[in-house]
Amino acid sequence: MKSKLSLVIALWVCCFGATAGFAQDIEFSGGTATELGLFVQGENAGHFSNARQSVMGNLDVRFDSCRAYIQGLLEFDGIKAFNGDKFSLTNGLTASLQEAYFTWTSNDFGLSLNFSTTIGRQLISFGKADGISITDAVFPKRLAAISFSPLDASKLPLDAWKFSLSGMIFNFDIIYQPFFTATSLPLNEGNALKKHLIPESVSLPGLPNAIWINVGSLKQPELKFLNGNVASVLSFYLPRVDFSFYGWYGFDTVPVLNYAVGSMTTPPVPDEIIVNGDYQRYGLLGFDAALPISQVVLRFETAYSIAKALQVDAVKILQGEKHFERKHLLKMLLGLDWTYKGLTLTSQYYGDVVFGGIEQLTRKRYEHGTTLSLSYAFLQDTLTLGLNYAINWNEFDSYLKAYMNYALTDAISLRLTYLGFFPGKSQGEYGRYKDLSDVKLEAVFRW
Amino acid sequence: MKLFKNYFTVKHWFLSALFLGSVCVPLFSQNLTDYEIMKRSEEKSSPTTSSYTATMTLVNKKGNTRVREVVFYTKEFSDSKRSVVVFRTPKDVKGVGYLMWEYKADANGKKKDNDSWLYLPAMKRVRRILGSESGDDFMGTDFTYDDLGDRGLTKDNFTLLGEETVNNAPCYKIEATSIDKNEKNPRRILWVRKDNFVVQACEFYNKQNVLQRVLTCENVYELEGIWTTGKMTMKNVITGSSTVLQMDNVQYNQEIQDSIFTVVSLERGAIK
Repeated sequence: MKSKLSLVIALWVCCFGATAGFAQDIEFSGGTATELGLFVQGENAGHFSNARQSVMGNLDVRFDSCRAYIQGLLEFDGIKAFNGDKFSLTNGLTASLQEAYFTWTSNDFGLSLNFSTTIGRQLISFGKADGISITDAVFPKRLAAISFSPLDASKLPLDAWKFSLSGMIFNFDIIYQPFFTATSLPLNEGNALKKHLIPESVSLPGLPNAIWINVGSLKQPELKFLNGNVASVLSFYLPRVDFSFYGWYGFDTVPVLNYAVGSMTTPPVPDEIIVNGDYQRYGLLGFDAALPISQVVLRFETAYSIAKALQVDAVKILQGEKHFERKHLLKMLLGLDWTYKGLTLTSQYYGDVVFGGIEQLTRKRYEHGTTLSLSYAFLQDTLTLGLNYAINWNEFDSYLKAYMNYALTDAISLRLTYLGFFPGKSQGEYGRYKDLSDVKLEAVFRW
Repeated sequence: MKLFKNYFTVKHWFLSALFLGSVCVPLFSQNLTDYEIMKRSEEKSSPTTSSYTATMTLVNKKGNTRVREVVFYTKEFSDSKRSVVVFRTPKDVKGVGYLMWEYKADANGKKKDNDSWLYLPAMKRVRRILGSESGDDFMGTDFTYDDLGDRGLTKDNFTLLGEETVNNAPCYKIEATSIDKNEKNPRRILWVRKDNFVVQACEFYNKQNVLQRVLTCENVYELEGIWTTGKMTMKNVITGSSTVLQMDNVQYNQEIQDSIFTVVSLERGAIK
């Protein structure tokens, strides 16, 4: 595996080096950000939720019809760096290669057609939804924290090869992802989100002591050609309407978890449960459309997941059931965008339904919600007020982000953000994070 | 969402900025209601392709400045005029791109609505968007979309007030009053050069008929037979702010590939 990766890296460096050597245009840009946040409710109120500095650099090299692009991010997390009373610089530092790709685009070869290929680490987006993943759910996300650096992307890049054929009104992409990338989950010790995914212990009736839950391993797909993920998109951009068709087959980026008794006490009762996970294949077909109508743009998106592995309830697994069941799943979204006198409003209704029996599953048959985003900029666009709200109609739990952004100069901006999570009838997806509600101040300098 | 909001409404502002004088003015010089003369003049003065960089310097009443820079391309197609604008600064919106297909009128004078797309590099995604309210401020500048957009001649009544000299150039003085009295500036006074019919200056009055903004045009030159305004300054006399719009690297009738004017080209970041 190491040699394969080395070969890919070497090839990429050769391509990049060749382009840079003959470059007509080299541009370096980047930014730095600092954030400080405080929890505002629960037992952690007043503690730091966030203390992070980050530096991002972009290198964009162009020669004729070739382009090489690199984006890297170096972060220092002050909270991670403090482990108890000890300070460790290395614990707080992380470096990541956000993007590193090489693109070649042909000239038009008749009928305004051209061909391009992009090889390397790249961010790819599907769909027309705003902040909700419908077709985009096939790509890995960053779910290991509530918030990320303002210089960072909310999703993870793919190591992929993309081939595109395009004309004036259409584009056809085929994407092959040889190296699997999993969605990042909060499974590390010390991660404040971990207990919301996997509790530290569980108390069962009839047992004298709580049972400890420990995380084992997440088994990734073996690295081989046939284990790569493949996707294709056919998009049309026509007068009064855009629409796209999506196809995807590969490994789910989110694992299904398996629970097993790890150790027994004497007399024999379990005192440890080990959680392992694996990634399962499924297929997806999708469609989206955007139509400007009068003063709004309507957006529609749907995705049909075929034989997707859904999580079975932990108790059922411990009773001997398989840890996942394959089901067909339909997701849909309807949204609109509206602007008036500098005010921008975006609203979406979304839902997804599971077909077949759900008795063993951890989710409901139909889950749905609504999002609302408002923003208004004034003082020569230097001051922006905005809010993002989302409500889950199953449990009436919700989330609110309100922010004020001020551009001190063209290069420096300050942002004050309140992020709140509110339980509904039960905790719900959002409500369980209520103690992670926080207020954050961030400053960004871009060059 | 700030990014999205700020550039959600970018319209074909730059499309006509260069040709403001040469497009509108010949009409004034002959007969303000003579639509056919204006149309012929417009067709004659439009290049097949054009490209330039535009720098907008925003100055507030304290003298602090902010700079926005875009690169602009346009090309005539058989059914439409297509334009693409990509932001170079400020850095937080660098790479944001806007594509518009502005359809030509058919034989009956009917036009399809424009098609517009916005590319947001942070989201790696192109979004279909609408145009904006024509009276809205453009990107926080002292210009409105209407000021430099393709306003046409059907929205105003024109009156020739006389002749005056502005910056040593003899001009026609024209009053334009909008037919829709709810517009942000229902009354304008324009000074139009007699020698080349380029707008030299303009005053904008608000709904209370109080002078609100003053436009001054400089660096007017002829390039490949097309009169071009190189610099425009808009001062808001009420707030004390002003915006200087400077066009550089202007090129007409250069070979530009059709594929530049596509959504895919925006997504690839091919234009800079």
